[in-house]
Amino acid sequence: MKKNEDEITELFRSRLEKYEIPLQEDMWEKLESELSKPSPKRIFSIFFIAAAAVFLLLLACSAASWLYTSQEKAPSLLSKTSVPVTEKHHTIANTEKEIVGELPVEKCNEPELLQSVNIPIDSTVNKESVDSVSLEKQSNNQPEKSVLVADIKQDVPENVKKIKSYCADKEWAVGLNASIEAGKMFASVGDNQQPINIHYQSPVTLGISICSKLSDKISIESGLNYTLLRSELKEMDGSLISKQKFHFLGIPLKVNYALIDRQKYDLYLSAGGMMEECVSPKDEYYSNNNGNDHDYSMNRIQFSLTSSIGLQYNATEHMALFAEPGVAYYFDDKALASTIRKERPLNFNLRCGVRLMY
Amino acid sequence: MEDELELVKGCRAGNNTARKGIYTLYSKRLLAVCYRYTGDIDVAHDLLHDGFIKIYKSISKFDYRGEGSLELWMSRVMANLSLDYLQQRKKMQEVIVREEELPDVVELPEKELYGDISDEQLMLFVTELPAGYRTVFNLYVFEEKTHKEIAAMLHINEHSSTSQLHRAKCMLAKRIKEYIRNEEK
Repeated sequence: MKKNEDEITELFRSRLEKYEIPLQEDMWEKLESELSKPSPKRIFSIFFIAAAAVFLLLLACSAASWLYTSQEKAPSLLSKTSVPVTEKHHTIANTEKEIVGELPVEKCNEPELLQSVNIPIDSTVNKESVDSVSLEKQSNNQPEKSVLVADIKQDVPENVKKIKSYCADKEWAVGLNASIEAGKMFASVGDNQQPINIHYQSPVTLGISICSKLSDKISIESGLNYTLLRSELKEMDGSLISKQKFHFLGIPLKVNYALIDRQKYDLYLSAGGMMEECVSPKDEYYSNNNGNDHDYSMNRIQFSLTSSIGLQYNATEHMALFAEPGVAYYFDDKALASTIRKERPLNFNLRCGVRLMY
Repeated sequence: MEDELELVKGCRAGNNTARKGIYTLYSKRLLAVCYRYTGDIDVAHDLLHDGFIKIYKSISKFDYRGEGSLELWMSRVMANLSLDYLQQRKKMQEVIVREEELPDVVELPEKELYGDISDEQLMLFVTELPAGYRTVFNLYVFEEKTHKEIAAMLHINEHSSTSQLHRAKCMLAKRIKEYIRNEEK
């Protein structure tokens, strides 16, 4: 039997190893034209760039909204000057008085603003009697000012009222987190004579997240996650055959629902999904002890569903620590290379991190 | 081979003449590799195209280790693309193990009888194998992988790799015998 098997192997190997098939026409031309195109980046790289851009934009928006609200609350120079600018002619005479007093300070801060205001001032001052105009406009302007002051005053007690939960009046949160999953499992591949063990190490994830509040109870969270999957192929006696490392970048999308909302503690439920792309190895050529290379092509996208319960400790008004034990289900990405995702699609994880809220 | 190394360097520099050089040298053989794995000539052409794009893109990572290493590397790229193709379409699972059909012994007729069968015909026999058998047969015979390696690569049981290879050989022997019988008539 052995001899015959070898005969077949030998027959096919010797006859087909260098076998050639004539090509269809214009194959090279097609290839050449594709090569000469400005190398089209893969769709998902573009996707990731877009996602990163959206993320940064969200970050910028949230930061801007935070800056804006904090400035509104503090009566500043900016809010004073903004009134005359929007009011234009009516308040010009009035501002003239103010600006004259504040000119040196404002000149260095807002030269552009000042220019635009200055020009009409000169003309109005020259044309009209300053006294009458300023008197009239001052009376016009006074109620506006008092409204502004009232706004500020209203804001303050509101903040005090809401202090039962630090997070209640925060619309945005930016977080840094790390998570670890159950791992370290063995899978035996092969028969009883020559089995090999695949030793999967715990997947590790690092991420940044951004969370936006939709209502009192519900918030939506996204971000960018990096995950490292490691595994080792080992002989039964423990000797190493090869090591595998897969790097994933993922974008999670989650909805959080607040169960308990206290000043110091929050308890919430999360559910969502994640889309991950294996960024490396796209093709990994590495050697094992036989000197053979394996190409584990991982140009694939991994989808997963996640669910977790989170406990958040609000350390200060703007900073909180959180821990989220959860469970995730990973869909088969049909990749050739075996990862823990394939071996254990349903996995537990613990995510911990810091949140900054504003 | 000095020229081959020059071609590799040319490809790394993005030189189209060098690219065409390795294409002319190996494309026919690599097309046969894709065909041998997929059993579909149109798919093989598509994979050859994709494979060359991949080769040109990643040739900077390729380490030239003397004559034959370029062809080996390129055919491995093609083989892996083909495996991906089969895996994605779940072609590998086409094989249903039917124990009762398994012959114990693979016998070939006399060498003089099968020696006349053309390469083309032998290739056809391989491509007509069920995808699962064909994959293991290709990896074992042409990539010279061990069953252990095949098991790890395809994420199948090693026993299943052994038995699929045996089944592939049985089927091939059967086809050869049938072919000879038909030729004799």
